[in-house]
Amino acid sequence: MKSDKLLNAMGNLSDDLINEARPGKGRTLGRSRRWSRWVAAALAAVLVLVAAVGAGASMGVFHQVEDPFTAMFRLPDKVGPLDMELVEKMGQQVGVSAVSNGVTITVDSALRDRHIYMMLLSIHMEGLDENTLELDKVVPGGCLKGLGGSSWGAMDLEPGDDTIQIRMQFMHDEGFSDEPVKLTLERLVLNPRQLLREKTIAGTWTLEFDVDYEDLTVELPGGQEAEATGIPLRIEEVTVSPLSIMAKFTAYPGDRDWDVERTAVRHGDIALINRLSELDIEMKTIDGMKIALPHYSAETNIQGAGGNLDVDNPGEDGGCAGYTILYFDRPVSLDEIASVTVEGIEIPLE
Amino acid sequence: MSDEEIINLFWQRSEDAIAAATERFGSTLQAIARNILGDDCDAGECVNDAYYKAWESIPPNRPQSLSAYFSRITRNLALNRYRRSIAQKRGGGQTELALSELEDCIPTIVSLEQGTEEGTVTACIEAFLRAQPKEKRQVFVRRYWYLSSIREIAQDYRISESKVKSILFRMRKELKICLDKEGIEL
Repeated sequence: MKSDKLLNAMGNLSDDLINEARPGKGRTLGRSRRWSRWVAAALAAVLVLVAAVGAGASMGVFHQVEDPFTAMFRLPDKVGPLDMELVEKMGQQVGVSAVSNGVTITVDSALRDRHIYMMLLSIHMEGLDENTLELDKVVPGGCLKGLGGSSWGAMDLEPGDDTIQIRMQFMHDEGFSDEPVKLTLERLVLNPRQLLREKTIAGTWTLEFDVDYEDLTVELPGGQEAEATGIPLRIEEVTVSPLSIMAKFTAYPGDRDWDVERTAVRHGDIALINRLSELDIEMKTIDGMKIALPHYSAETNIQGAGGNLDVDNPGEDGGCAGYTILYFDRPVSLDEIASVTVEGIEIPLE
Repeated sequence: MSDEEIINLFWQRSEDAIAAATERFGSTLQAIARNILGDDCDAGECVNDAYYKAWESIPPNRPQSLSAYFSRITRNLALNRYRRSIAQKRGGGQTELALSELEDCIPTIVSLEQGTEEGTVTACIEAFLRAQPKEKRQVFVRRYWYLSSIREIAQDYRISESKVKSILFRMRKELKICLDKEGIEL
């Protein structure tokens, strides 16, 4: 057996290589670094809280969720226990609150990478037992300024505690700036669009916080020619982090009436502009398993997606700049990822 | 007791030589044999055979590193025993897993002849390993020389098991490229 020959050849390695790796000699660093990181994160959270109080925001009721990280992901039961070593690198518990008109909104936790900002908010009001609610107006500021496309899902993590949790996500193809987050939320709507049950509670909640995170993003080489639904495109840049994948590309759709494309969704088809805004992207692990599948497939590990194709500002060569961001339904260790495939073009992670 | 002192005991044919070697290297040798054979009893027999082999070979040998010398004897004896047990459909341990992982490194060249001489293959692997960062090199040697399990390696180096697997996966791919470049045939 050929691998047996390799094993034998390994047996003849020099003494120094054998001794260097002798069992029991391992590594001595690791735990202390993680402990000191949590101390720093906890101190940072306290400082932000103090600043919020100093600026006039009321503490209100700070209601702490027991597991504020698992709840960020769409299917907590599917996720299983999170890799907390990974989670700790990407975010932290926050604990910043604001109170208005008897409602306390708290940012429980936040995770982020260059392109995705995820947070878990708790909304507390005496007697709150509705299981659907919305915030009527969300004004992102700070590093989220100008971004649209936040999305949320309400859930009741601990029934009977008068508190509902919501997830929010923001995406930024250019990457978030170094400014802290500022969120201004207005008007809480209970049972939205439910006849005779909908109720609006006036209020304004301003939340400011920052998250200490380690940028684990891996940048993959671009320049590959690809094709999506018959349209040629060039992959410009692909980045992968434990939370998301982003692909930037230039598409060459040719001359089209984009107003027609925008308004027409043919039966069974997806309008071209939508299709080109969300490229087919999948990831494969080192064991050969696909763990992130295209957004369109039934079996997917994608929690959400976003993208854009700028057809209004084509380049001189007719190329239209676009991007697709997919974020995962669980944190993924990049150590396990062998490759990313964009519209059939496989790019290995080196 | 230093290597020098233990070697002198061997040269003096003192029975204390084996006791000294056992105290110094016993747990490491037992671990090597157990990783390969998957059975403490077989491993114990193997280690005893290793001490006997060392007694027979020192003198005339005067090893530079007694730890590596004993480890190498134990590894070879354990692998031989493993191969016999496979022939009889017995055995456990990490060897079968390690062999299947090393399939990734098999160079592309296919030859009907005997293949490259073993020393040349070793030299190529060694050059490859010396060019690697220290921790990655150690992880690779722990896995394919000591036949340690992924879990043991992860615990000793305080990294996740997935990181160990990832390091080994990438290094096997890179080793294959090196062997191909050198025209190695197995």
